[in-house]
Amino acid sequence: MLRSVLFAAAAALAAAGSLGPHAALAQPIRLGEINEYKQFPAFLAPYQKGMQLAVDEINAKGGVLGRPLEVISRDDNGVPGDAVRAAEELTAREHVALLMGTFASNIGLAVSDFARQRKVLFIAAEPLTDKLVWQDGNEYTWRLRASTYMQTAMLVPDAVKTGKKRWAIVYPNYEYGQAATETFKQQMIAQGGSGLEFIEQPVPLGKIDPGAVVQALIDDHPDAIFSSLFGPDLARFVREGELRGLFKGRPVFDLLGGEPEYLDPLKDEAPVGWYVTGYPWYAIDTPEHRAFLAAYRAKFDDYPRLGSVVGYSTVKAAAAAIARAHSTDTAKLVAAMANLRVATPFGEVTFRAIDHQSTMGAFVGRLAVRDGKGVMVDFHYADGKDFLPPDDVVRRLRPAAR
Amino acid sequence: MTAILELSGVTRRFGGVAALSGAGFAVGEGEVVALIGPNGAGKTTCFNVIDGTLRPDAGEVRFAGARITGLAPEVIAHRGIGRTFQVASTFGSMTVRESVAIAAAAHARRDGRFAAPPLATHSAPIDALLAAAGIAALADQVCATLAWGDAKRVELALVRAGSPRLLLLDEPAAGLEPDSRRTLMQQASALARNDGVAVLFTEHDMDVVFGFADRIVVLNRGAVIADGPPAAIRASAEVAEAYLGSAAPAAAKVDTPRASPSMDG
Amino acid sequence: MSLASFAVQLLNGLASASSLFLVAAGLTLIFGVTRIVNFAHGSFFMLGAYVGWSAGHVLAAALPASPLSFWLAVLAAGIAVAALGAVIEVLILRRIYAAPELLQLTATFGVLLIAGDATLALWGAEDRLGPRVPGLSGTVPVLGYAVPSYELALIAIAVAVFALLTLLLRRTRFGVLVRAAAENREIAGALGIDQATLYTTVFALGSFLAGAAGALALPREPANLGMDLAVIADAFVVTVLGGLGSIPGAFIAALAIGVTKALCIAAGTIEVGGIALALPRLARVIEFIVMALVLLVRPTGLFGTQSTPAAQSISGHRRLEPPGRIAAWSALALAAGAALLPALAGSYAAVLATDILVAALFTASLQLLTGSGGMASFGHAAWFGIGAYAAAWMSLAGYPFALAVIAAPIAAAAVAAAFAGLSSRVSGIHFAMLTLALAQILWSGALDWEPVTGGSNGLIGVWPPPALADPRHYYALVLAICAIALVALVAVAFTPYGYALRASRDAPLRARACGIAVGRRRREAIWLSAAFAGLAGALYAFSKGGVGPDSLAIPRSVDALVMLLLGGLSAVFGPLAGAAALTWLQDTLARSTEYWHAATGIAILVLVLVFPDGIATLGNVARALRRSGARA
Ligand SMILES: Nc1ncnc2c1ncn2[C@@H]1O[C@H](COP(=O)(O)OP(=O)(O)OP(=O)(O)O)[C@@H](O)[C@H]1O
Ligand SMILES: [Mg+2]
Repeated sequence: MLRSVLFAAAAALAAAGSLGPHAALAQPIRLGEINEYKQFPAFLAPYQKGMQLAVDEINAKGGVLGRPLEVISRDDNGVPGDAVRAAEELTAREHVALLMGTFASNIGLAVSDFARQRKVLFIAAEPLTDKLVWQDGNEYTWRLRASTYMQTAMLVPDAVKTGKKRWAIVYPNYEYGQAATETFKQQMIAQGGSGLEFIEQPVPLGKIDPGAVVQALIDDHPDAIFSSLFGPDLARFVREGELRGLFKGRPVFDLLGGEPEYLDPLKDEAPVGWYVTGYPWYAIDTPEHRAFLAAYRAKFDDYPRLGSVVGYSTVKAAAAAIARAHSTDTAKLVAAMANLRVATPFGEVTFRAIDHQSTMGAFVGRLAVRDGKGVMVDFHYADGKDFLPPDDVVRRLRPAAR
Repeated sequence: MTAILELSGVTRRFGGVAALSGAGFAVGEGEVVALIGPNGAGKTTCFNVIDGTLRPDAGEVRFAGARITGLAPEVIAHRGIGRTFQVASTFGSMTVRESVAIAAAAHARRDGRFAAPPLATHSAPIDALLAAAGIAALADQVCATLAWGDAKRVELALVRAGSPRLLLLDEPAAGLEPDSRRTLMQQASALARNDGVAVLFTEHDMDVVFGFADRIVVLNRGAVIADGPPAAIRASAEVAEAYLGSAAPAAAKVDTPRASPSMDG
Repeated sequence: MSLASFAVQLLNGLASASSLFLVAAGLTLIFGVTRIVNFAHGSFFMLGAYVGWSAGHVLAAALPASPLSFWLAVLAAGIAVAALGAVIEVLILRRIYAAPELLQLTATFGVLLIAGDATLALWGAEDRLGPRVPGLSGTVPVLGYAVPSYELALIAIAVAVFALLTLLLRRTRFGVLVRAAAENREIAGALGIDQATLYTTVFALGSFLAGAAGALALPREPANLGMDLAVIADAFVVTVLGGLGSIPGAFIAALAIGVTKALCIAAGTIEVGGIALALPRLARVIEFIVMALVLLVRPTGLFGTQSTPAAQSISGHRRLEPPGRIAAWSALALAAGAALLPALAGSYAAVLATDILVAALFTASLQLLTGSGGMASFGHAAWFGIGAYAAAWMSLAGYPFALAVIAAPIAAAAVAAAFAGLSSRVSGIHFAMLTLALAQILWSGALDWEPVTGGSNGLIGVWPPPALADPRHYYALVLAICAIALVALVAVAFTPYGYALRASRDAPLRARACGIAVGRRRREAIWLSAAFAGLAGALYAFSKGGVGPDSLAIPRSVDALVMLLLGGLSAVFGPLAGAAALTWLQDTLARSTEYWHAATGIAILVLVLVFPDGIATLGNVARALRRSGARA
């Protein structure tokens, strides 16, 4: 055993050593990609496949500006400082044309600030924080994925329609959950009128105490529940809540509950009737999506998750920007991002010039169980452009754009 | 002779056990006093109370006329009490020279200086301390590797670096070869005779006790049962009974001539 | 809250406490006997869950709808993990028992990294929700509430395990040996106990409990890759709060934490003197608050005694050799090489070297505390983070760069001085846990105090002034500052103060009897070391353009310990060597393999086994070889 450990270490070191400076083949256009692969593997493994599919498709058609694309990925270990170091490395050593990626909001913001400081384009793939394009928005940062605000807003119309007044809100206690909670309350008041009551139950991320939380919620006697839980916290909450009867007779909304990454582990215990946003890949019947699904399955013998769509579309957005700019020069790339239209599996999306947010939407529907699996039913595509505040509000929300 | 150390009514309990109960005695300047008693009599506890390691539950310790009960050990050390431990304690990760140097620096109240030049380990006073303790040859040895007897000598050097006016030696001779015993005890009594340092020591070996002590204090179960010159202790039936556990007169076993009679006043 | 609700919340707390107890019981056994700070205990818990999940599937197919399949899977998980634990103990830990105790922490950290990647490779990234337990899938009405019957079963299991362990420890020969070893290693050795067998057995038993606990958690939470870290800190808290090695202590501590947490959640937001306090927010750190309060009152935990070796300073220190002429010249050569680095190797080399220097300074500050001071710290990131936040906040508030950098060590030292005063009665592993508690409380505060700290996103826009905007220029400044600070730290170690500190560590009673104010020297070490860590934090913040709660979090504290022990606890070049090795390894491995955590873990294990005194003592090794060669 020890000898094999030593051998493996020697092999690892040898592999590391052989990695020296890359040959000066400046042929491909390099895209620098940074993500929290070790922290969110359930989302990011499919995401990486999505990127790969897009790169292969683009290169099969001759690449961009006659040059092939190459994605250089770096794992930031979930630490903003490491992400910044990776960004330094990608720009200084790998001479990437632009930066992209990131999942967690704190990492997204750190890289975005780096992009501003070092004047390089950053296409944020997944981070949901509203601050990325609003309060802390800057010239060099653009975001693909629908934000916390947008996704929350997509659920509000159905929540208003329930006519419920007393809402219990349970959320992971960090910026994403807090922002979802705030947006939900504001939007409900804006659209649902008076007499609304909100009771909040923050839970530590990844460490929900489900029994106590569910009972506290039962004791609050809410009419309905809004949750922004995901991952293991969501699974524990669902199981405990079903058992203890928390969800009986109460409409429940969960912000990300329809994403395969979080829905699939629940299998036949997926909470039927919940309102969610997500990605019903099995039932989206548009030409763009059919093509994407077929290509993805053919290549990986697996079905896509939401991460796959995000990874795929991020690369497509980068390629479109380079093609439009006809250059890899940052100033031209940034200019090309404004009102850039990108074909994605969800249809065409536009990167808004006003706040650098793309109009990518999400699917809104309800959960059901089919063949022992959780699925979304009665869903519709909520286009991102319909769930953003009016332009004058956006301008106020984006004060500095430093 | 004025008393440099006075204990009165000192009591210290550990749970139900009274390690000391109302113990009282005195040590005069330049006097060599043996504190004896069977195992568990409270000798080490008595040292711990004197040097501040333990707080007594009742009673008082006076040193050089001032009450020192309840003061911290480092404060008491600076007042002029130095001690050795029953199991010799040295600074394991340092060389002998370094440990003596830091002990001397501590005595000079330089142990808190972090914005200062490095600790001077090679200086005449330190060489003198090493030589006086007969450990010059060990100077560069790391303390953790010292033999039992060497550790005892090094510890005594650490204590002497603090120029104490009262030396507390807890079983200084235990575990040593007869030769080393004699040298170590001679060192201690020389301090008393030449520099007027008072010495209080515990010891189980009666040869050493009667060979070196000016006076003997006998502890039993935490109380002083006898206090007097060796001859009187030797004759005391109570001591024989309590301490030696038999009626045999102590004198029968103790027959060594005084080691340094010349200095005896 | 009605009385019924209150009672049922207590029951909920009991159920959480039960699973916590099952994990912590194994840890306290291992900790109590072998003194291993077993970082991999959470990994054993996670592996138990995954093995239980797989075994459950296989067995459910073989025994459809039988409750037996679940319980057999739990047993299988326990046995599998116990076997793994025994193998790790024999192959790795046994080889380094003679080294400084914290080295075993480093080794188990390597195991944690490997176990995480192995689990990812074997089971994939998706969470694995286990089936409900046949026969225990429903609820039982209690005072009008539906309480899951499995949770009641879990309470019963915890009580049964408690009773069994108590019997084992009180009534068997094995138990006598375990207790003897927990009380005093030396005496145990003198009693002729076969230490190797005892350690392996205890390690396997502790691992069994962790593995079984992981499988038992399956009906309540999916097996997932975050389980290892989610559980490890709490398990340590329970162990230390209860008193090291004390099973009843662990039981009561788990109860205290489980119930307090449940009541915080139940209480919701309360008003105290007009201020709204959202108690559920405290759920994140309540265990650390409870532990800190208990340790301040009872420095060895509820059932701990001062006599246990864990209450003393960490042992096994080598001599800190004063740097000789060779060391001085090497340092000069190193500095010259470092100064030329950007010109030779480009701007990214400067970025990487900046990170290495900052990490080296952070590690060197820990060396003063843990090496010279003998005070292990599991929460050294507290000072780093305070420095980083202070500098970031000053910079964003418009103060000049230099002032922000100077403010950082002052802020860290000020908080540290207060902490040192409060914690003066706490020592050994308890002190280490108290620092962890402080770091965790600060971390949670940083998450919650949005207006000042930026919450979970942290503060961004913290860059050095334009003249230093180029990473190469900033590196030059960092090199100058770190070189001075590192030399200063080495110099401090050889001042009278440095020696007094080591004397206090080696033999506190002897030191006091020599007139050294041991308590004061230690308190000074805490704030001095915090000042340097705070300075490292400030340099870090400006190199990354910001600061977030991660700067205060457990992984950063662990990094410092790992770098220190890799480099050499008692070697003047230890911090630099350890920081360079780990930072470079991570940077390189992360780029070359998906399983770079495992690769890093393997590298750590190899280094620990080959250089138990640290890689910076390579020179000593060479010298020793030469000497033995000359003799031969
Ligand atoms: N820290 C302690 N905790 C509990 N009991 C103690 C402690 N120190 C001493 N004792 C008890 O106090 C009594 C006196 O002990 P002490 O060590 O003072 O005796 P001693 O006269 O030095 O014995 P010896 O000749 O064996 O060294 C003994 O019963 C001992 O068990
Ligand atoms: Mg004694």
